[in-house]
Amino acid sequence: MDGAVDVSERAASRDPDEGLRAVAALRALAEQLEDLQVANARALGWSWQAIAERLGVTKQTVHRKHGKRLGRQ
Amino acid sequence: MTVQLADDARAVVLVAQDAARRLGHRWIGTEHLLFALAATEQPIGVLLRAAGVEPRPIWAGIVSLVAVGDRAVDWDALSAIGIDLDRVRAQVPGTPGAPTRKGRSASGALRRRTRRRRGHIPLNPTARRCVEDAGRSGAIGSRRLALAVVEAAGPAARTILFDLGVSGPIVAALIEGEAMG
Repeated sequence: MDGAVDVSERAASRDPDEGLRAVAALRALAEQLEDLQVANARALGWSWQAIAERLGVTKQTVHRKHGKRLGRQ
Repeated sequence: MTVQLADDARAVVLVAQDAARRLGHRWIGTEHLLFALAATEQPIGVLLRAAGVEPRPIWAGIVSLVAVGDRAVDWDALSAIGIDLDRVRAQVPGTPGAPTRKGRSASGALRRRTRRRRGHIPLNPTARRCVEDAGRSGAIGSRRLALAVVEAAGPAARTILFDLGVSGPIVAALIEGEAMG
């Protein structure tokens, strides 16, 4: 299989059930990746400001979302 | 498409639904079906456990691969739009479920995140296809359901089996052999 996506599966995503589920799953994946990448950046000494710029949000937003989890220094 | 589930397969799907609910997932995927099949006292459960497909590590695998609660990722659903679990894992070290990372304590993760969901939880498209494929030749029993899950395994079940060190095709052959003998 090797992760190759079957063509019929792609076509099937025109089905709202598959399409909407994929959207929800993408959102959850993006959240997981954000947690991971922000933690990694902090561990490497990045400032909240630098992280916020990459994510395209304000420093306050990043800090509010991740500050508690990662320690607010 | 309506498929006829035999009583034993229906019991398995109900256990899968309960597992999804306890994990705070909004879908029943191949991962939950795999867990329920491995946990059952039915003959198929005995066969799977003998082949190394054990419910506890599957549960831990779901928690670390899919996560728990609102941030849980339905990998089967992502595969429908061409996002591949193996590639994400390979390219993003430390991705939930990446081989380098040890699974978190299942109970701890559950305490942190789980929000109980009530009522019916739908099968995701991959799991539904497994059930439908299994149903092509009449009423579906647990054995045929297991075969469909192990053979057609969506990315979630496939990866969990892989992480268990179990070969899907070998397990499938065992199930088929048992059915003939």
